[in-house]
This record gives sequence, C-alpha cells and structure tokens, in this order.
Amino acid sequence: MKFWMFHLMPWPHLPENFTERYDTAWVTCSNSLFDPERGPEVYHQYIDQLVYADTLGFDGVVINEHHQNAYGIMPSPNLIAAALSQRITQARVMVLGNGLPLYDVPLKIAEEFAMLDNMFRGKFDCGFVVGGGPEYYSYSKNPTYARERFREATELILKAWTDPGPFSWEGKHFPLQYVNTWPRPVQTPHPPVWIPGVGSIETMEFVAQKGLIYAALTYSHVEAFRRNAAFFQETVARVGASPYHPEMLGWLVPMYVAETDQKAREEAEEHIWYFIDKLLKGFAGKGRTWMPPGYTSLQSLQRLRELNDPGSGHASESNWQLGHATNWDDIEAGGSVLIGSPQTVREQLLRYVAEFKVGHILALPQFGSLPDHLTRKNMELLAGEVFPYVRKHVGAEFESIPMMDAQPAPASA
Amino acid sequence: MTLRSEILTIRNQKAHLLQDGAGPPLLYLHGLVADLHSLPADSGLTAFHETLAQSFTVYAPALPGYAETEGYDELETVEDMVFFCLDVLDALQLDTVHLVGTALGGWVATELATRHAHRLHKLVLINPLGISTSEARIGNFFYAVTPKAEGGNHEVRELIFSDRDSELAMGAIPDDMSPESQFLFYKAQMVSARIGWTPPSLYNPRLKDRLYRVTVPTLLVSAAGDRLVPTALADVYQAGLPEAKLVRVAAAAHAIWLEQPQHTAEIVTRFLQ
Repeated sequence: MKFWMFHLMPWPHLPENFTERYDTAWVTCSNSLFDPERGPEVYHQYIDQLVYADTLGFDGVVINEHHQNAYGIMPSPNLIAAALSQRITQARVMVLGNGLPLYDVPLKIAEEFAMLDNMFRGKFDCGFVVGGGPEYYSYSKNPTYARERFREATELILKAWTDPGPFSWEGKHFPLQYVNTWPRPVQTPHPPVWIPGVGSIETMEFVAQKGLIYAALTYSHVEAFRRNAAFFQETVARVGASPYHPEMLGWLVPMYVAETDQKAREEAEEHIWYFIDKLLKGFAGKGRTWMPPGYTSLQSLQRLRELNDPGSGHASESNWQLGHATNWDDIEAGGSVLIGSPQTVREQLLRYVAEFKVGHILALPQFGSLPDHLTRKNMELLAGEVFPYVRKHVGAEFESIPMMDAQPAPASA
Repeated sequence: MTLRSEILTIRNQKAHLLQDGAGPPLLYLHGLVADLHSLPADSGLTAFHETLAQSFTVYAPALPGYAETEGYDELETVEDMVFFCLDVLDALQLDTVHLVGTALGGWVATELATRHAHRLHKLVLINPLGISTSEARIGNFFYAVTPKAEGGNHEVRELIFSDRDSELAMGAIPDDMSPESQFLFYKAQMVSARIGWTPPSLYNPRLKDRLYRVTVPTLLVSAAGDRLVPTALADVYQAGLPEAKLVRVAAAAHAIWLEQPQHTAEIVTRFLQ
C-alpha cells in the first residue's frame, strides 16, 4: 500500500470574473492571464510542498504534464523532477507522465526518464500518457494517430531500456536506424511504468500483458472507478503476466482533511470551486470541451454511448463528472472527492481501498487556489491521521500478496 | 430518381457506392459534411445529385472511412483517396468520366486531376478544399466541432450554411442527432482529421504549384459567402489551372449544393454538356 502526493501545479491567480468572461482554461485561455511577477513564487511554493511531502513520510510524490493552460503550469514535469532529485531524499518521485504521441522522437523521453532513474538512484516511477484532447489542439498533433503513436512509442521505449543497443526500429511512426539509449535505467528491467486509462479494454490488456501499472486519473464517479477496477482485475487474471496485486492499480483522489467535517468543507469549498469552475472548464467540465475528432475510437465511443444510455443501469455514474458539478450535493454524489475530519476521510478511504483492492492512492491535497498553509495542514493530517490508519488496516493484507514478477525490485538506495 | 445504394468490394474492402441516372458517366466526390455519405440515406437532401442524374449516370462513392466504406486504418493522406478513386473507376470499368467534387471531394478531385487528367473529360470543383493561403485561410472546422457548454452544432452550421438556424441547416446538422447521424458525422470528422488536421487544415501545401497539370476543361463554382472555403481561394485555383472558368454565386454559402440545388446543378450540367 502506497500513498502518494499528486500535484497538478495549477495557476491559482485567475481573475475573479474568469468563469463569466472565459469559456475555457485550456488551449485558447490567453497567457496574458499568467503573471510573471507571481510565477516564481507559485513554482517555488509548489516545489516546497512536494519536498514537504517527503518530510512528512509520503511514499512518493507525483507530477504531470500539461500544455498551454491554467490547469497545470507544468509543461515539462521532467524539469521539476530534476529539481526534486536534489531535495527529496526518502520518497519516490513519479512523473506521470510524458505525452508520448506529442513528440516526434520518443527516444528523448527514454533518455530523460533513464537520466531521472539515475539521478533518483532508482527511486523513480514514470508514466506514459496519450495526452489529453486539448493537447492535440495545443500542439497541433494529429489526434487520429494518438493511440497508434502511443502504442508504438511505448514499445519502443521499453525495448530501448531492456534490449542492448544499438538496434534499429522499423516502426510506422518512429522509424529509427540507431536506438542506443544512454544512460540506461538503474532499475531492472526498467522503472515502474504507469499508464492511465478510462476503462478501455485495449489499454487494460496492454498494461496487464506488459506488467505495467494502471492508473485512473479522471475525476469520475466512484462507481465508475469501482467498475473499472473490477474490470482491470479480471483482465489481469485473463491475460496478465502475473496474478493481480493491488499495487498494479492507482487512483487519483482529491482530498481535504481538517479538524472537523464542517471545518474541512469551510476551508476547502472555495478552492474546490476554483478547480471545478475555472480550471476544469474546457477539459472535463463546463465550457468548450477540446475533444478532437479521432482521439476516441469509434469502438470506444460506442461503448461510452452504451454506458451513458439511461437503459444501461450505469448512466448516472457514467455521466457524472466532477467538472459538471454545480452545487455541493453534486460533488458529494460522485463520492470521489474526500473531504472531512480525519475519522470521516480515513473510514471512507479504507472502505474504498479494501473494496477496490487499489494499492496506490494518489492523493491530491492541493487543488485549485488552495493556499500554502491549508495545503500543508491538509498534508500533515493526511500523513499523520489518515494514511497510517488505512495502511494498518489494509496494508498487511496487501503486503501478503506476492508481487508480480515484472515489478521492479525495490530500489536499494 | 433515387440514388441506389450498393457495396462494392475493392481490394478486399467494402466501398459504399450510390448510383443513379443515365447518360455519360459522372464520378461525384462528396463534401466534408452535409452531403452524401455524411447524412443519413433518408435525409431527403439529394435534389442536387438527382438533378445531375437526369443528364448523367452518377456514381457517388463514399470516400475511405465515410459511411460504409472501409480503409480508415490504412488512410494517411489525400493521396490514398486518389488511389481509392482510381480503384473505383477500374472496378466500375469506367475509362474516362466527368469528375465533380464538392469541398473535400473537390480537393480529392483536384489531386486526382493533377496526376491522371487522362481519365477525365471535364472537371467541376464546387467550393473545393485543398488550398489555403495566409490571406484566405480555410475555416477552422476542427475548432467548430468542439463540444460547447450549451451543446449544439451551431458553429459547424455557421461555417456551412448561409443561415445557421434555417430549417435546412437544422435538418442537415441538428443539435440533437440521431445515433445514425451522429455516427456518420463523427466518421466524417475522423477522416477529415486524419488527412487534414495540420493547420490551417484540410489542404495540401504542394497542390497549388501542381495545378498546371490539370489539362482538362475545369469549372470552378464558388459561393461568395462561403465561410469554410473563402471565395478568394477560387481565384487562387483559377490562376493555377490551365483551362478554368470561374462562376461565383452571390448570396450563397458553403453548402450551395443543398441550399441552391437546382441552380447549382444547372451550372454544372450546362458546363458538362
């Protein structure tokens, strides 16, 4: 059982009237809204928070990649990781991930992740992601090749890390005469690779067959995650390289803990709405949704349509998205944002962890405009009163399950 | 007259063909959206094509990925569309034809004509995509299709029709689509993204300088009020084509074949006869 601190590095200084004046925080949200006078402080505060997670005993920290938006000012998480490598001493660091199809030479990603694995002395996890729909607008990359390029780049990078170079690569999208990645990763056979998914069977099978880690990073209904978690476990049982283990599965959960339930809501609510009404606007919520044609295959579209059909029995949770919430009841109805006293949150989290057999909780303790002092207090309560409780009650059960063979050995550094 | 639907097999893949009429053979290549193969068969929006079929034998294949035609996975560039059309001509045992293309079909038709003009009698291009310039950029179709908070497809209709709220426009691209309409509309978007995503979108930067190879009589029909294909691009086409006549229709928008079906069909028929 691992507890991570996920950080999106949102831009917290959007104007008060943003919701009324702008239809999106993505792609066309003008960068004139970024204030260079406040930028340095924002970056340093966020980096300090990640370092603080290490001090508090989080198992790891997670950073991610987004482009041309206010949602996350981290177009290169690898740069942040490099900075963290000089300050984090105990926790693992995960870049989840790099948007493979967005780049024309995926070897750069193989190289940088291998560098980071060396710099972290093997306490490094990485993620391969397709990139969100908006990124295909922001980088003008053809969305109809997103899945193909992702699959090919994934195979290429894994081979670059595990087969001795040089070798040639006869791919459709990335033909290469010399693949010979220097440096090589420290971990054997390579750093743990995380792949996010939203329920497609193809992604699950790929992850299971390759012995990778499946991550749910959408702010969707808890029942949608329950269904996907079960579906993934079946998939691993069917085609997996080894039996299912909870540490093959991760789940991103916004969390806020304060002394009482009431205080937690009072402190967090304004900042949750900043996240929903401003940052998710244009991505998975209100406003213009940057969903390019061909990014979703016809088959996946068909499956989504079936799930969303009122007759399917899944419609209410399949249609629920945090970004669509308009009042507090909407947020609570989804069950996937945990806010309350330590007792409330740990009981709920324990129930979820045990029921879903999910071994990685990617907690999001900073969201929207949540200020530094509240973020830190939240992190302290999570690390002190929530995670140890869940670990104690469920951890032993998880640890007794043998790890899969393909899982890298724990780093010795 | 009604267009008959049939499925050809071309190189082991399905090719969807609509066919009607009598007279000299005419290969019709459909538009991006709001045309044959992106509208349901029973849409009733085929007056233009049926009028052509009074004078010609009209063959209207669905381009790869559209409607029932397979081949999306192998599709990469507009060049693949050209090969598909050659395969269709061969399958139908048509040596030479009149070639008529609207929008996307106009782009494919031009690409074909720059390479295989000997297969054509005459060429008709109606608001053709394929060329974009800094002065006259092709409309931002891939932005217009992004889902809006308030829902609906008014931004696409705005690009395509003279009045986005007209009964015709709302009928062709409604806000609430039937599953079949939605399916056809999404396929049209996927195919056009596959071959034309790169900005300014739906063009080939090399095409302009190859127009000199289109050595057949060509008619350009351009709607003066086209918001998808700015009418100034028709002048670029005309300047590059050796034998092109330009008819500019005032008070018309992109989907001129839907909004003025008789008038457009008459212009085309007069030129081909």
